[in-house]
Amino acid sequence: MSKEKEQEQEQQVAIGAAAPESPVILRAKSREELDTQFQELKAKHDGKTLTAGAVAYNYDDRTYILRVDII
Amino acid sequence: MAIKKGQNIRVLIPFGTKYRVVAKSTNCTVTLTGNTESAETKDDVDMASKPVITSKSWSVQVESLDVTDVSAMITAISNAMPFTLVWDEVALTDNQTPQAATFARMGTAFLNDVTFQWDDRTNSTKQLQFTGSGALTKLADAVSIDLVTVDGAYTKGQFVRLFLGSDNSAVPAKVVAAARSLSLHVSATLESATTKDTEGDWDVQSVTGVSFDISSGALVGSDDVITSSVQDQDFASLEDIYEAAAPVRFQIANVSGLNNRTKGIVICSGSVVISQLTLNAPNRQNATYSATLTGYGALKASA
Repeated sequence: MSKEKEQEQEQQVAIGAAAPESPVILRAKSREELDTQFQELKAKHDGKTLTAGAVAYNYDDRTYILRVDII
Repeated sequence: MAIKKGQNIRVLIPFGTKYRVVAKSTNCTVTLTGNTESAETKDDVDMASKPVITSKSWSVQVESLDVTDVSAMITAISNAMPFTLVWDEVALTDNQTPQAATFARMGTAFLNDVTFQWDDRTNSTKQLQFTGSGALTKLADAVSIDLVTVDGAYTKGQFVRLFLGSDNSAVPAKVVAAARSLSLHVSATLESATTKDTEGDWDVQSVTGVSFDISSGALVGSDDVITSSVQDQDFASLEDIYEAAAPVRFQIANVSGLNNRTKGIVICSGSVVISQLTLNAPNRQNATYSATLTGYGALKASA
């Protein structure tokens, strides 16, 4: 692969990585606790947009999990 | 010859300077297409066909049980930026570590189609489609991997619901009653950007638009079926919205509590128009209806 091609590939890797920013993973024993953690995180990042996915339930350790991306 | 198993061939997407497998994936499909054109002429003395490959294109589909990253996927598809995608054989020990197999390839692709499915009493699913833009290259060495922590976390479809307003101003507070299925489909329209300047036979793409639609399926119920403080939309009220032919606000949200109607953290929101309502009333079976809601304006990956 030529050097130019390599640089192009590296740039594209960086662009791809920039789309989903480092997420915060919240874990809680109950839905209410998870909601509280989310609100606290929101207050901590006032002025930024917090986006969240679907809540998952971990059947191994019985915890609720929420992925939050801060934009 | 040792036959490869599906779990040992995986798609890897960039994560920082490294790559990650698509978590909780259940299937992946790589399609390499030779776009052919007939080269038969009157000079041919027989009746045989003569296809000539005039361009090459490729696409990748991945299915997964991880729906925790809805907002990240919406952001990724809306950004309309290309990813560097890899498919490779992965180690038997962790089903994650790339091996730089002879069939492994790397290429630039757009995430152009995402579908999330939340069906009642079913594990929720995600389908991703990537369309290649430009050439595929063989891997000299395996890409660096950022190992995904494996956990047993899944989302059952009844815990994600659609809330639909009756207009385009107020925050939607009414849940779709007696719902059984819900899907969100986000699509980026790709148009060929291949020119004579493009090297090789590979098709190059560019994103020209992003759109979304929502499908919801439910039983046709009467008002007294569900007792809950949260108001609902049913077939009759959806008919009213359809007849008004104006956009209404929606939210897809995590739910809990009585009848799974307490709205929790919102996953995405925006406005939609009802583009199709279908009532199905088969003999001696539950009457059902489905609604197709077409996105009006931007899909927000938040409330």
